[in-house]
Amino acid sequence: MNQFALEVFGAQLVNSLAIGSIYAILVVGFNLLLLIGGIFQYAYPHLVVMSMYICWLVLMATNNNRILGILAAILASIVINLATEPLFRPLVKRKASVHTFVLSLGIATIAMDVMNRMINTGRPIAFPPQFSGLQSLVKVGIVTISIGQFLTIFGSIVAMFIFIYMLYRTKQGRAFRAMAQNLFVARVLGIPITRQRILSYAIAGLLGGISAVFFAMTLGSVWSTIADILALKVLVAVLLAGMGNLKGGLISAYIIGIIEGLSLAYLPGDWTNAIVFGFVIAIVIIKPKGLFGLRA
Amino acid sequence: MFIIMINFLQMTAIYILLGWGVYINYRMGQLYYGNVPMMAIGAYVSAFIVVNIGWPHWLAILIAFGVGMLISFIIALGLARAEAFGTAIATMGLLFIVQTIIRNLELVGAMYGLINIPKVSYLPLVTWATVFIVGFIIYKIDRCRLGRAMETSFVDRDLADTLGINRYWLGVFSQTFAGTIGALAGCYYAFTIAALRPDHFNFAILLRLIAFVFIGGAQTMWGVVFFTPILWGIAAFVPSEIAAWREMIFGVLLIVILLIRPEGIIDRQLIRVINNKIRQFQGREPIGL
Repeated sequence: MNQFALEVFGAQLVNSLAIGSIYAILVVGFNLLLLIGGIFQYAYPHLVVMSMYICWLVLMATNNNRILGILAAILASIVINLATEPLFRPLVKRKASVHTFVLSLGIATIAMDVMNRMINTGRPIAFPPQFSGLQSLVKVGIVTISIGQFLTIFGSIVAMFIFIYMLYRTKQGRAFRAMAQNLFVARVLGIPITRQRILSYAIAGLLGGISAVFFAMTLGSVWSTIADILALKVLVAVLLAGMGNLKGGLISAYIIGIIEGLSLAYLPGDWTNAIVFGFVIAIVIIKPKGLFGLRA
Repeated sequence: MFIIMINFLQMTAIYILLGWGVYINYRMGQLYYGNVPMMAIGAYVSAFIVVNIGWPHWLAILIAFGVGMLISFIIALGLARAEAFGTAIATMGLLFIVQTIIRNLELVGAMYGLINIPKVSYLPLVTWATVFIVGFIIYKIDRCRLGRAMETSFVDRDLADTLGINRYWLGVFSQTFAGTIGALAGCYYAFTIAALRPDHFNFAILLRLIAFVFIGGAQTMWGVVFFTPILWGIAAFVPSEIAAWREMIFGVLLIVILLIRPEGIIDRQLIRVINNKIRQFQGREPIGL
């Protein structure tokens, strides 16, 4: 019995880590848009879910060509994110940060409507078994690690390392960090602000596309209302760490993933999301600036 | 046609009440959407009282008012300290929590909801009386010290602190106010549509509400009043082929308005111009723009 309980715990831990990795990529993309793009992009996870839909459409059209599907998801995510940039630009110029949030709610409305009506007549879509990694890779007792979970955990760690290397070891990353610290000084030093902003949208889109592929692999199917829940979870992780705190965001994404996975395993009914959101309300009340402070 | 008209008027009143809740918090720079979960609570409390206990409607309305005020006050005590985005996300999460609780509560019918809520003939009268009373209160708040304090904390928080404005209690007040009228709106909603399901109180309602407020103009109380009927009219009266796209239309309109007219269609400048026109008509001195 004890052995069994331990194995259940292990299985849930692997699951939580996979979910947490996806959140971590999204949190990094969100924080990038917040710090460099200067926007509060609530609709970022909606656009990620939308690129999953596009990935599915391409898979259907090309008779389950895996490579093309992955490329389509990443490209779609980059293109959609870049397409939102001209909408945000006037708002960013007049520093209306609250309005960027409201505008992203408008984008979320449109994205939800497109997913609800135009693609597969609003029914949930299921990824073909060749694409989704639900097959088991390793099996220890009742603990199974599926291919999708394995790829998600390791792929996201690799993606994080590349991103952090870019941010702290390259000239490009230095420009980003300068912009996040002080926009005015960054402009004085000759950093092309607008071009860097567009680049940050593209990188956020790239990260979103990667997480879309991993999400499709771990979940195997997707439906439109998941976007709202995903958006709230990403924002919860961002708030938990303190807005604009990249490293704290990574940690809190895994914390949210673990809370979610464990409450999924040990609590009855569909209380998972309620617990995660209750947790964030408590955090917002107790520590309004987040666990790790702002912009560390 | 008569029933459609009554329903349209009822829903307009409900959205105006909810929209004012968002407005009064946005006035002091907060993004508070807690009135939508409070609407769910108010709707379920009043419907439960009428259906399962059998008390009269007016008592249910009063109890929903009291419960709404109490719960939103307790939540506001915590949330009033948070920053704008924190409040927005926390209240959106609250909507999910309330939805989950309702969905799992056998007492109020869980997934199936409450059905056969008896209708009441004087409901439109009560609803619109509430709209006028709440509107009068907000009009008065805007023109007294409280409103100026809110205005100041919208423009500059540090300035507001320097001037001795207690932003915490101001936030508690406006969030409690919004939550209470949200609960009342929910109560009227329950008696209007006569059947409640947990998925009525979803994200679409919140997004629609934000679209109404920010298209009409979030800086004055009149934006909600004039643009809720117009935008909700799209949903109610145009042919169903167009009405099916209403969420898309709201989203596109919201983006376009934010880009070309940041304060919404009815902004403070427009209100001042209209005020001066009225003063001119009365033969009084115009006030400076």
